[in-house]
Amino acid sequence: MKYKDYYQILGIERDASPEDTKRAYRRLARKYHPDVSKEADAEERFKEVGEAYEVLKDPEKRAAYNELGRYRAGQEFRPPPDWGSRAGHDFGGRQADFSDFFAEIFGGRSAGQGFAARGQDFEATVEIALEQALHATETTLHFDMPQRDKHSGNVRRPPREIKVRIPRGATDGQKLRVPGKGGKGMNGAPDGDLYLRIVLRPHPLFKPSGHDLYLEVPVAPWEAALGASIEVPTLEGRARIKIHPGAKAGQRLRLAGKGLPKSGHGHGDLYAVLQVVSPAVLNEREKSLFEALAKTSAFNPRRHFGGG
Amino acid sequence: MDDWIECVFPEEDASCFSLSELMHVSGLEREEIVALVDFGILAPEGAEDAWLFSMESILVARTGERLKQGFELSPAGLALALTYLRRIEALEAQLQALGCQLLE
Repeated sequence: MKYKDYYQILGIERDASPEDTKRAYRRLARKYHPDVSKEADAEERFKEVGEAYEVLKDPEKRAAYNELGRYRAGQEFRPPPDWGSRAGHDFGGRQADFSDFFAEIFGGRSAGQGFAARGQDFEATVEIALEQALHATETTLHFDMPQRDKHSGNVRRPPREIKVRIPRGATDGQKLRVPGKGGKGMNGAPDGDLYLRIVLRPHPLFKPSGHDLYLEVPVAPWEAALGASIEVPTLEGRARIKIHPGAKAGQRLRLAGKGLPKSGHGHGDLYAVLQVVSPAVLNEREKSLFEALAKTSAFNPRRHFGGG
Repeated sequence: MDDWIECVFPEEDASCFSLSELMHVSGLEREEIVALVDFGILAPEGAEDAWLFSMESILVARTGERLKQGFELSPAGLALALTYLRRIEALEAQLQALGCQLLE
């Protein structure tokens, strides 16, 4: 099996004191804990850090780990022949969360002793398009689920596929629990659960906020000044909205029920957010029309600034 | 053969869990769950000796367990952390909504 260098993972020397070990762990926990970290690989790194600390914080486990010898991280190795007596530590229900390396070193014997451990929970992020959130969506998840072989006690990772149907009404960041679809429990203990997190893929036009959608709608200065009836896209087609004369940038127009569906019944709303845009390039005729308007109009948008 | 697993959103899920079931699934101790109820993080139905927790509670409790492990939190510390986390999530949702209205 491949060696894991717990000291390297925590960034400490082999002779680091318990105090230094703890402080190293705390620094890394702050950096990688999924609930406070913004790092990309936080979840994975935190599991690694947690496992390393679990072993190195306990004098007995640390001594047992040290006796394996020194190897490079990722190097293939075998434990020393007399190491067997050290195995069989009981880490309770959390044993399933640790890596294969850990399971081999510390847990290999317990499977044979009829140690009952609840199956591992699995987590997955499911990315769906906004259009998919309109209906129930089916998606396939791929897992390498660790399974403890009944006979050898070794951990294998046969790839597994899980097909899930996400009901309509999903929102960004929504979490779901699917009971009993996680890893297999050992020796009669229940199976773990599957936890899903839904992520809505960014859409070129619509921005979701809960069940509501926001659409930025550019309008020409004359449309804002004169008012207009314009067509805008919705998630399921098109709709007409009426711009009233004197419309302002940032103004929101609500299209009720044109947002994302709610899981029960009903929909959120679609908000058209007006953006007044001026043409970048004017031909001579357009320019002279604008200049005539500027001369004629008494409109002062900056009256409240005072002064000249 | 239809082997799709149907998922249910927590707010649609009428499943109820006892205190010991919640302990088992989340990994939290009894004392910790009681603290979360005392501090209003969890709001079970029913009388004290027969609490019924919702599916949402499982998600909250699991996050709690992860925080507890990561930061060696006491029950009260855990309640505080989850309180702030909830507040952060609400603020992020507000930011998200406001961001949608910002013009490019």
